Amino acid sequence: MQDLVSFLNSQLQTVFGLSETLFPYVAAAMVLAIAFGFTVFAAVYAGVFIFFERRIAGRIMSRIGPNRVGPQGLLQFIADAVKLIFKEDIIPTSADRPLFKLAPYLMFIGVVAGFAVLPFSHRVIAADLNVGLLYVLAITSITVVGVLMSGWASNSKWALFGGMRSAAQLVSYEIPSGLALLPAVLLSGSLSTQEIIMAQAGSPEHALTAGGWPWNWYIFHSPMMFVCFVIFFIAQLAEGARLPFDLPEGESELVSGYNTEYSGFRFGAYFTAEFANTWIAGALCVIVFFGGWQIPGAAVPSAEAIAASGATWTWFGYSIEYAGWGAFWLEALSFLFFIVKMAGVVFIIIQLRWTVPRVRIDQMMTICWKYLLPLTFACLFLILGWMIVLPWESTAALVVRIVMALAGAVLLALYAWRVRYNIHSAGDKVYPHWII
Amino acid sequence: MLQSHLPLFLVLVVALGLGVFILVVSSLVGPKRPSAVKADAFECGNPPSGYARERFGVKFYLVAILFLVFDIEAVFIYPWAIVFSDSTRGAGTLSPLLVVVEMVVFVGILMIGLAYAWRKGALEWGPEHGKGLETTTAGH
Amino acid sequence: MSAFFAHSGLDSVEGWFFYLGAAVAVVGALMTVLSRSPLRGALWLIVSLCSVAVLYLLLGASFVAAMQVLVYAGAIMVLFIFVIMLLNLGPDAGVRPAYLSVAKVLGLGAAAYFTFQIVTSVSGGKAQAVDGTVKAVGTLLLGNYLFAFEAISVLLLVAVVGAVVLGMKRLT
Repeated sequence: MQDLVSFLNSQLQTVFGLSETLFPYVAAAMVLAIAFGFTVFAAVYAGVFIFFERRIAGRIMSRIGPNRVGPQGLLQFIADAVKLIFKEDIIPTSADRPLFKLAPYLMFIGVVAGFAVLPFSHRVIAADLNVGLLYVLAITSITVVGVLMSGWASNSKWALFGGMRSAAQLVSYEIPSGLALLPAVLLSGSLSTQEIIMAQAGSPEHALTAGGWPWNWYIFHSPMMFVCFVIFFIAQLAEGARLPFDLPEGESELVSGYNTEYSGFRFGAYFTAEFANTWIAGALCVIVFFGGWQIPGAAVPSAEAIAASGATWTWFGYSIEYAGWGAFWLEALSFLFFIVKMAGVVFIIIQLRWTVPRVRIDQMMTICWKYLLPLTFACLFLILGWMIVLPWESTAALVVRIVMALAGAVLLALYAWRVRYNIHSAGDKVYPHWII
Repeated sequence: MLQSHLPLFLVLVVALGLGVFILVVSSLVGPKRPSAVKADAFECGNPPSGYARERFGVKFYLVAILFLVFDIEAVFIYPWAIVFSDSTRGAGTLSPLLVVVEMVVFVGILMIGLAYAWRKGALEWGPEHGKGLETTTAGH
Repeated sequence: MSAFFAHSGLDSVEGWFFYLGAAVAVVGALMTVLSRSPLRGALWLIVSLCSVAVLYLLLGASFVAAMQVLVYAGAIMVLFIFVIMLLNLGPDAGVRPAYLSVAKVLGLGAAAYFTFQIVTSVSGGKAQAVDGTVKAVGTLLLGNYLFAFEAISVLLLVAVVGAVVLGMKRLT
């Protein structure tokens, strides 16, 4: 973020002749604007996510989904938000009023604050902490307190049962989701999200080994790493209370779980938080396992070179000045790469919601403690051995990674073929035929 | 120091501010027609019976303890991962083998705890395992 | 006046953040013990613990700060709330008056002792920022404090065994 601010400052100076004494004020204003931007981004993302979820649900169920408000129904979420704002804010008489009012804030803040360390490109990140990964895990664990608080404060049986179940689920799955990220920390030697992304690169000398290619992604490092990704993905589904782990608000048994008594925008805050949480889940997958925002073939300038000024990106033999507008477009491109990978992960999260049934609470606990946890430890120690036998820089490791990446491509093709087959066999003719 | 963390505080403050702003707007434009029935806790249309805050099953407490133990374990395993990563590059002061053995012992002892809890049935949540315990499970 | 600002640390943004964090931590701690409802007390404790995390951040101990939030606010609080639910402690769950007066005397005595210790041990200098990165903490843990590190796992094992023995006791 400081990089970004100083870059914009220098642009303002050269383009508009801004005097240097104004820099701190411009910087402060920009930092505030960027913080605001991140927050609004989280809320708008949640809205867009809801639109896509409803459209994809429509496709899977052979119906149309929302298509009236705005082009293709894209503005439906704004209509929904306005409706929620105009609703009455009901607080049950038996509720603990202050706690009841406070609980949605905790959920919302816990999720939005997680966005601060998730990078969109090399310079677009609110705060690149050296404990970034731990920060996300820590701040999102605040939502557990929000869930328990809302369940208890509502003083309603449904809300209380939902809150307790939800808390048990959220805390249980925090363990495998935290431990499944560990191999990436072992490989990169850092907890900073940016450093983990930039470590997913081979030798910067050649465009085919530089960062961003699938064979540099950590998911293809070894078979165990792929298992770790699956564990992490399952754990994140449970953390976000997405199907098949939506027990906290299982509509058929708990009415709506911990948010049963909520109405109006307090209810909306819960759902904004829940949907914004899919961004955190998807972004963590992309950052840790899919190479983050890196562009295939582009070698990121080293931190020393950036500090010394005059640094350049190297991309297929071209040198692009780090402090110039060329790098700006390059970063826009890397944001695009990030979003495309994100969309892939989020699509699978949505698709799972409409294709698998809910698990029971005992199954949920069994999956976590008896399968995921021992499996994570097994993977962890196998990866340790793998790292010692096949160091990241060795040619043999690169060959293994390429083979793994090819296997991954085959898997992806099979998945795409299967989805296409299912759509065709349903005899679906909903327009547009090939998207959403 | 503060410079790198200031955006965090700002994001927290802005998120809080946005939440407060929307809820204030909502309270200004939303209708206020309270009634006794509307303000009752939801119980499928019936008048709420009794007090909702009943005693809860001891299972939840067991899960919380297990979670706490493994969370603390994760807390220690992260610095270990960094140290191990450094030692494989020859950057740290400790040898990689020593670091691995230290963690194998640490995790091994914790695995005994998990195995014990597993064997004693602390991880069972099925209906047949709730019977005979001193406290009832949630929702009976 | 300016000497006062420099001495108290109020001449820097860090200083202001320190006093803000410290004040919230103290208020949170007071509200924890003054709340009638155990659950509200538990939530005030989260406020207090999170502001202590801010103080750690100001000292440069980012790892400890993240841990403070992850373990205390995330895990221990959940445990507390589950215990409150398990024991069904409502706002009116009182203790016996005799115990209460003993507790008051002990609590005030302990508070007076610690206040005395803190006031007499303050040297007046500013706390130095430490190398609180994950790497520094890890090197110390696995090097100098290896025995304590391994002993922690035994302690955690005892915690699991104790909880299972107590929690799984069957009616006979």
